[in-house]
Amino acid sequence: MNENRNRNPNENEMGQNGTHLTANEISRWLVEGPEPASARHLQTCGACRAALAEAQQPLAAFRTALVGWSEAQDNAKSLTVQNLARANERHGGIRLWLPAAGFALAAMLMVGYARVPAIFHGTSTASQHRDLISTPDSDAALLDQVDVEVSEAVPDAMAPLTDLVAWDANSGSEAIPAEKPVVHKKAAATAKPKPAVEVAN
Amino acid sequence: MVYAAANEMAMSGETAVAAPPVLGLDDIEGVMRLYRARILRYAMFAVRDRDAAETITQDCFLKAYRARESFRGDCSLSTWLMQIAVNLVRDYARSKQFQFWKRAQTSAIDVAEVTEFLPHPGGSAESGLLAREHLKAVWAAVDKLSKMQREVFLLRFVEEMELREIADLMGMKESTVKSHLYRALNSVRTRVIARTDGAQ
Repeated sequence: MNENRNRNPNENEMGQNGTHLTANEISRWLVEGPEPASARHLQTCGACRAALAEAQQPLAAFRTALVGWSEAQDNAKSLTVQNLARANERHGGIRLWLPAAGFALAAMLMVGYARVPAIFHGTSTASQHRDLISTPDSDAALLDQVDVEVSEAVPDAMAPLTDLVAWDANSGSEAIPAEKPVVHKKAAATAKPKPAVEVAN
Repeated sequence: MVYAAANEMAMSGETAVAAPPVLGLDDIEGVMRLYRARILRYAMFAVRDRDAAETITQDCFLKAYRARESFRGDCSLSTWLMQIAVNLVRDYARSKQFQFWKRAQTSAIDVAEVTEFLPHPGGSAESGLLAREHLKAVWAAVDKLSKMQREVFLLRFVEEMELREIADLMGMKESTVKSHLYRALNSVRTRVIARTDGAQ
């Protein structure tokens, strides 16, 4: 029995006359299952049964411990469909987010591509646009321009009264009031008011 | 002795494994309860990373549930699930090639943790100690096996699958499976003998 325990699996001392199972035959038993000849021999040979048992023992210990460990892990987890559904959501969520993320990335790339000429060409649209960006001086000029345009469209606040007086004064010579003079708002504000005498004249 | 009884059963052609109940994939909870431990321990030893094994196990059932319409019953449900797990492990190994060993070192299970799950029959303290030594020796030997040898070894000696099943599962010839198995088993047995001799 002792010589069986220390039998090296790489040795091949099989007695072809059926004395004992060799290490290779024991390996074959373990890998491929029992063979009729070996099974017959084992029924009558206690030493070979012990040798086979010794070969199986470490494998059985390994299997038992692993199965016990995995089942303990299994019990530690709550096996519910909710878990699976949660995992499903996680996977589904990833699937939903991926196209969105891809689209966003593509959009970013397109914007970046559009900006490439601006980087490499000084007279690009972007640089022209940058030229239009106002400075404090141009702001003031622009406001003045807008002011002038608005004033041209809107009559001065005192214009109706002055027109009325002017119409009354000229009523003898003109049947129809003269066209409303357009008065610049600033000009009106800075201009001297006409003296009443002058109007009466 | 337990092993003698097992031998007798093997010699008489009996099997100790009870046939699992017939379950449909619609009852995914029942399927998980029945096969989760099996998938988990295979994944655990194949990738040697606890977190990755958990993820692979979860993904395995998720994939199976989604593809339940395509399961025609040509093979057993167990084999089909194993097939999915094998593919997931391969995908994982491919995608995590560079992080694989690094991660394995940090979250791999320890043999001491597994040793606690050895049964404590009414045997002597010596036999208990020997069983622990055996487990450690096999553990260390399996750790040194190549990836393919390790997977085949697990499928045969832990999952107790038939050679034909393993060949189908791994997509290789039966003779190739045998070759891997013989090499793996020789390595394991040599290491076990060396360890137990050294311990004595």
